[in-house]
Amino acid sequence: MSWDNFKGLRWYMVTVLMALSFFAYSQSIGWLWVGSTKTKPPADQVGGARGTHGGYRYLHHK
Amino acid sequence: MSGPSKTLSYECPKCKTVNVPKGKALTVALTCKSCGVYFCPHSNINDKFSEKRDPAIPIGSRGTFEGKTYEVLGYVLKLEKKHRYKWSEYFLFSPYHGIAFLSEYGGNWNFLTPYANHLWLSDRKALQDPYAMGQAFKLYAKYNAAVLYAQGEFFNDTIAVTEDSKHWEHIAPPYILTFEQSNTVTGSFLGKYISPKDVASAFKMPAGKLPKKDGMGYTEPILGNFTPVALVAVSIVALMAAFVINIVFNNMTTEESVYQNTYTQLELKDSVKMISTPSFELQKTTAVSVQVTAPLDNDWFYAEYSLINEVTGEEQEFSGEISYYRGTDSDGSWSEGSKTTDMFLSSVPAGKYHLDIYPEFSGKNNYFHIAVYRNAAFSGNIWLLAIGLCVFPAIYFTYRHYKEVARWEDSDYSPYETDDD
Repeated sequence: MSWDNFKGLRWYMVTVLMALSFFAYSQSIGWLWVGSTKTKPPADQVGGARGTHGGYRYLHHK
Repeated sequence: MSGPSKTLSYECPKCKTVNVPKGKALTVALTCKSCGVYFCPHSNINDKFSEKRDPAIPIGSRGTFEGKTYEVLGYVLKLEKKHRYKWSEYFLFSPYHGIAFLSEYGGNWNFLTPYANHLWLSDRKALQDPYAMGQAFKLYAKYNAAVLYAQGEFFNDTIAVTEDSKHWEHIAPPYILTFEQSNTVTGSFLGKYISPKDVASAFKMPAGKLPKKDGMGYTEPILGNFTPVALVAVSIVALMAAFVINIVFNNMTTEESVYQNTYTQLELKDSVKMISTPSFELQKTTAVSVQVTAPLDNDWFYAEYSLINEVTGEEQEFSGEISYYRGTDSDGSWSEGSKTTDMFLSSVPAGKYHLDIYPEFSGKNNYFHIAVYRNAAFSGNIWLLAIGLCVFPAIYFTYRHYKEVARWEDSDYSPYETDDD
């Protein structure tokens, strides 16, 4: 099989290489694309009242 | 042979105009530049056409294909006798590279050159599905043809050769292998699809002057300049690379417990109903798994969690519920739910952390066990990547199937079932 048979796949191969690189990077930093538990920053870190959690007011930092 | 000088020339048998062939002694048949009658000077054959069509590429035009420059010497409009479709053929010649043909049907073009290595020459019989140039060719058409119109000059009596011959056309898109055989002539040509844009570019003429493309050419590549085998090969290599990368990272990092403990309801502080864990360290950015287990029996346990970076103060809040129920009914014993749950936190930056836990007990159960792991193992990425790598091949082969069916619709030898079957 000659290179001619692959010429039209240049951009597909580039895309595949980028996907594999992104996959390797994600694995290295534990970036879960799916299946991670939904998280959110607390209200005080998105402009809400500092030191609250749900209905609690805790002001608890070590 | 006649003429005022030593230049080879032929006198038209009808209007007596002197015609000087560009192919010199190679020219066997030509049309008169004045009255258009077709004649063979050496055999006194001549013909007049009932149909006239001006070639889209004028006789005398020069075009460059695969780095070789050819001149258009002749044009023929042909008719397939059974299905009555017409197509055009341009006869090209180069003193250095020999002869070639451009065929055009429905605005789709093939560039063909003589092919001497056909496998069937020994017994002068066309194979059903020959293998040539590393390609498996399929029989697409077998027909007899007639010449409706000709213009220019030819190196054989193109009317007689066309009408006396049986023609076979085999395709392995974008390639075409043709074979023609009469009592006196056997010939074979290997060609390749060429886009109208490339034809126009070869002759340095506007693409708008060529016949408008009407539908898919029977040798037209379906999508891009690659073979299905090449796509499969690239996809398999990519999948193997993905799994190798996954194995490498799984072996480089092992899941490691950074904190675990068992808490009871009695440890809840009265004011905030919260338990705070001791600090633990994440040495690098990693996935974190929080595993919670409770001794549930027809019971539930729910908690909200806050993972707090003690240096930056950044928090990630999340929650999880576990429940486990069992019993018996007419079908026997049953159970549902689980006594444990895993919560995965993606890409948690390195640093010193602790967890604040806000548990809710049902009243029956009064304790739970929590374990925090760094380098948490997860498999979602590799499967998502594997699916992603299969998307383009899946779309391509589905699309290809429909286009292949369309390609073979006009053939009597379609490998696909049609409504006519």
